[in-house]
Amino acid sequence: MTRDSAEVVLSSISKSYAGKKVLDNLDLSMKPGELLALLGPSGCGKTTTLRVLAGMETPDAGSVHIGGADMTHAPVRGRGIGIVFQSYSLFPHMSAAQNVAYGLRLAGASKSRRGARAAELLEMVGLAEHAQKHPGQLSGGQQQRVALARALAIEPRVLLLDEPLSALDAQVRVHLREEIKRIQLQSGTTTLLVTHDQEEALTIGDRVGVMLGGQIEQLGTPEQLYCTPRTAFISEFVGAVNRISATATTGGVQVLGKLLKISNPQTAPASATGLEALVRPEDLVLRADAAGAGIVESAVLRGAHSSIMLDYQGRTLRVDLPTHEAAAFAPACRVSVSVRTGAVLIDSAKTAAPAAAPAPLHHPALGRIA
Amino acid sequence: MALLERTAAPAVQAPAKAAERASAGDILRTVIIAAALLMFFLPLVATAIFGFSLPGQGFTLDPLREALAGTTIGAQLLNTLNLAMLSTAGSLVLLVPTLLFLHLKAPGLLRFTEWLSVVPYVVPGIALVAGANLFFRAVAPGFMVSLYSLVPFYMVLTLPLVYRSLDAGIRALDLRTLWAASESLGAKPWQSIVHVVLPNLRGALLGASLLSCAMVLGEYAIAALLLHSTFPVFMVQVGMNEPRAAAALSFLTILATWLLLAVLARSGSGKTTAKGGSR
Repeated sequence: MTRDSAEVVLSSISKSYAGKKVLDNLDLSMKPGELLALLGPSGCGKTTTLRVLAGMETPDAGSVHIGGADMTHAPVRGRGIGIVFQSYSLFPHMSAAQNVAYGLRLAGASKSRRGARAAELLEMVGLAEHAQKHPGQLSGGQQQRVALARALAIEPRVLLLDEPLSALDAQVRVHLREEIKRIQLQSGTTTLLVTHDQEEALTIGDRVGVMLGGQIEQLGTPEQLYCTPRTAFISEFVGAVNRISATATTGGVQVLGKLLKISNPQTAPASATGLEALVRPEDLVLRADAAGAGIVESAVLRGAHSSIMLDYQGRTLRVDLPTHEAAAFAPACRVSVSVRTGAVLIDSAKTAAPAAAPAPLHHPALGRIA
Repeated sequence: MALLERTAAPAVQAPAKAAERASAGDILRTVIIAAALLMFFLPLVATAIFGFSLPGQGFTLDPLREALAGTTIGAQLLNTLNLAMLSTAGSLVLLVPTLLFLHLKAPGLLRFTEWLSVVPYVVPGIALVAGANLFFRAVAPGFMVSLYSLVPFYMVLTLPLVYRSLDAGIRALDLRTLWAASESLGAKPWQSIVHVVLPNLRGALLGASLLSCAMVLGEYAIAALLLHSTFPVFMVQVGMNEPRAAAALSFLTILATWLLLAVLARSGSGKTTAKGGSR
């Protein structure tokens, strides 16, 4: 399948609703053929960004360019976009095949061409045998596949996915997001995926943008976001982290008795005290040590990995390690803890967080299984 | 009930008790529905007996025949049917696009328009006619002479019912999403309405049409006040001199209306299943 994938550029987009700024001077550009995932908590403006790009909202300021042409004020139907919505949006009175063929019917394609194209697309999403069923007879996952086929039928230059999986069961969601990635690669369409699920964004995005307060906090590959987050917010949003008290010294910061570099020199607080290092659970190393400062409290099996929860100087730390190694650390066993990496992200200490509360523990790869 | 008994079976006394309770409920239900049917059908049957009989003569069509002799009932019936169709079509043509616009572009206004749609209930028909009379006699004296000058009045009169029925139908759809989906696939607004919205509003359109037709078929006050000769006006006139013929006519009208409703409802549901099956 060949399709002219368009480059998309949003520049200095601002949008307010009733005096509340939803998008604040936002810049975003997408390379032809890439899948860009916009990730963020609810209310961060990610859906508004998609709606501005789709033409369902007009920005107060800024411009939208698709394939080099200014589309800021173009109507939805003139933009060459396909959209898959969060809620089931299939036309209830049409069969799956008719839904897929709808856009071609509007474009005046012949009946035989429409039928052939609909069959081809339903085949691609694995629903060839359900072509004659109506949306009411299809499961949620099947409906979203049909919606994807329908959006691709008109050969859009840009594909917009507005939380397409959030209404589905966990298992279907995991399966379908891989399907989406495969189909997107196959069709080569520039794609914007909006999601609040960090796992979804990191697993299928070529690049991921994390949004907060109407702006993009950081835009990069999933590896960049997960391994070198620019701010504490991103670090905590895209995965689980432990907050460990740290002391600034010359040439870096002292964490768990080890001198480490600061990975975020621009955003790190300048003070020398009241600092915390953000370390991912898999970046901590445990060693059985009768004189160690940590006491194992419990072990949580998460599949291939297990999380050891331990009490370390009044704080709860989470350490992730392969399940077969976790057996060595029974509850009440004393351990010493060290950091595996050479650089850490530094943030000022959260005074509100009580010592006993663990850091937010949503690990991207394991959170669902747990 | 079978399930209830089966699950209760292990306990010794439970099945009997459950059966007792169920049968008591059954009796109550039967009594209620019998009473309702009696209250509903007794007046109807009484009307029919009164209308189609003469003392000492048994069943006869004479009163009806005598009353109708020399009248133009066909013309009046046709007038009323025309009015019903025109008012219904007018209401739908006016309200469907308006409601779609409100739901899509100005949902904030819906509360206001909903309140507005009830106004015809609050303003008595007489006030409406009197006001319109004063106005049109001064501005366009010929307007009220035409029978079809009743159409706008009937549209106003049926507005609360038609509005509510259509509004409920639109609310049951995820209109914004369907509209956006259709638009993103290249549809112009009229194409979205024809290909996506109307097919999914069939039930609401049918309901609105039924309510509007039923109301127009029975409307007397405005037509009489404006001196137009519609079927309800005719019935009242006949009833003044020939009470038995009026009873017979109203019985026939009720039957006819039922048949009409049944046919419409049947055709509505029939279409849906036929479409579902053939595609």
